[in-house]
Amino acid sequence: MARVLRHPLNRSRYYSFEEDGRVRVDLDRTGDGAERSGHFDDTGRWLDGDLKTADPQMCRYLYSNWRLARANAAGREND
Amino acid sequence: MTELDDAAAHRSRRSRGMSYQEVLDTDTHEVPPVLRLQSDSFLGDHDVPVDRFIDRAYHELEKKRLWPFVWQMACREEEIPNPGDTCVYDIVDTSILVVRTEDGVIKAYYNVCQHQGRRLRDHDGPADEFRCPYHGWCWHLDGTLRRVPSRWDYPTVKRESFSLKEVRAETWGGFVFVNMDPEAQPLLEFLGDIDQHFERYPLEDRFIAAHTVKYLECNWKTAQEAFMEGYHTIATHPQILAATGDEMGQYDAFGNYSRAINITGIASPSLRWTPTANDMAALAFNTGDPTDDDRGLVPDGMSFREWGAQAGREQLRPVLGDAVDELCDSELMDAFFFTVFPNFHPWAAYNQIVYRFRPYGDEHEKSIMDTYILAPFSGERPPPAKPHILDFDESHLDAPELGALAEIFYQDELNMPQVQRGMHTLRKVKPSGVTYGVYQYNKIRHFHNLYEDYLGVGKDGETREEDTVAGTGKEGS
Repeated sequence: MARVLRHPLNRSRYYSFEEDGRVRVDLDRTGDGAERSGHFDDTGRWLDGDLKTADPQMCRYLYSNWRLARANAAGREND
Repeated sequence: MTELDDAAAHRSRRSRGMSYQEVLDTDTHEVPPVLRLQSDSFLGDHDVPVDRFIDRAYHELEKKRLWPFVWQMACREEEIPNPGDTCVYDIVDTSILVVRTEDGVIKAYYNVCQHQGRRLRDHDGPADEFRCPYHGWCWHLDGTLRRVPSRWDYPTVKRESFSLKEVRAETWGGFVFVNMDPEAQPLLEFLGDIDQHFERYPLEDRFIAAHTVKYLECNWKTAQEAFMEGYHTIATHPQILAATGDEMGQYDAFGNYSRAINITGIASPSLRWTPTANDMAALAFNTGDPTDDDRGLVPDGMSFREWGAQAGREQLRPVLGDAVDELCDSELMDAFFFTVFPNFHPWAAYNQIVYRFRPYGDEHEKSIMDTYILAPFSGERPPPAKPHILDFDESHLDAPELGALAEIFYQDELNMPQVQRGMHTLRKVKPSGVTYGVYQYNKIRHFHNLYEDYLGVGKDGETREEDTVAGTGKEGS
């Protein structure tokens, strides 16, 4: 299961990564029916989705999680 | 006396969070006195012009007044353990050859053939002699001339006057330092009382577990400043705020070196929520999902610092034995980041990190960042890791040997080239330059004060002294 990080300064935003390395950000507005999400690259550049802004450094961190997880998985396959 | 010289007023300018000294008061073990040391010196509140980061003239001034006169870490002793082992250290347009001679002494020479000027050695490695690959002139390991092909054609060449030109080489902490100035003060005198900070964790008893060499698109000072304050954590490394007292750290300056202590296991005062010990454990050890508060990593009633410190002791026990029980929580949890002017950054305690920053060749807007991971060991010394070059188009994520540190560096990499580019614009719109914090930039201000002394420049960059190098007593050339 992909790691999910809640932004420590903006707790309504949840950061995770997709299998292709895109960073997904979910905006939780439980109660008002306005939940939104978006995809971003490793510099915080918006790719798609109705949520269009994200913290670039959180995106970078989640992307690096994905990169290292992928490298670890490749290493396990080679063992 | 100004307001900032007043200790009480200075204290009031510190973070609203706990101070490091207050954190030490909660330590479960005896705290070594050196952690109680505080330097309250006010190092200025002036802006620093960006010219020294982007202007070629400053790079040229560094070549003339800084690099030829200052101690520089060239390599680790463990990289040249046997007679004939060599290391090539390049600084801007000067190449230096470090060698262990046949009697075991470490010496350094300018890495250049006295015949036609070819670099004598292209790379590190063992050598029986120094033979120039161009025409075959040859020197003994002790630097004396050994052989000249077609000797009959060189009547002016005398053995006694054609030795390799020596560079000062001295050691500290298992590192070899070089200094091109024959009149320079001894290395240990230059380092002052720095040993008091490392005597509990001697760096000579470490081995190079990893060594990366990253090329960066920014000035060497731009690069190292990205690591010299904890202030950037709030924007650059937000993921660790729940377990990092980012603005609560302590900054000290002593002689030619400075120290930053960054606190782990206390949440940032910028948070509007209170992380649990388990939130911190999940983040700091990357072992769980911090959106789930019920993982139970830390036993009830135990603080994260206490738990993390004990985990650190158990991790080190196979190597250090029961000596780990003498280490206080802070030594196992916090970051102790030292800077020895101008570009050497060893970390104390068991963080295991050492940085070195220098220009990339003769290019003032490119730099080289060396990162060493110096691990403790027991028994026979393991062989040192070879340098892993990371080119401009690679990132620290291409160095999995750095582990989680690669993720942190990857975030820093986003800023450094953009700072370098941005400063060209800043010079146009804000001539006074960059505005550093008064306290959290203490290490950086300390660096710039020494830098200005070496270069003989004023704080405004306008009162450059052309004749002497202030602080060294050297005549400029």
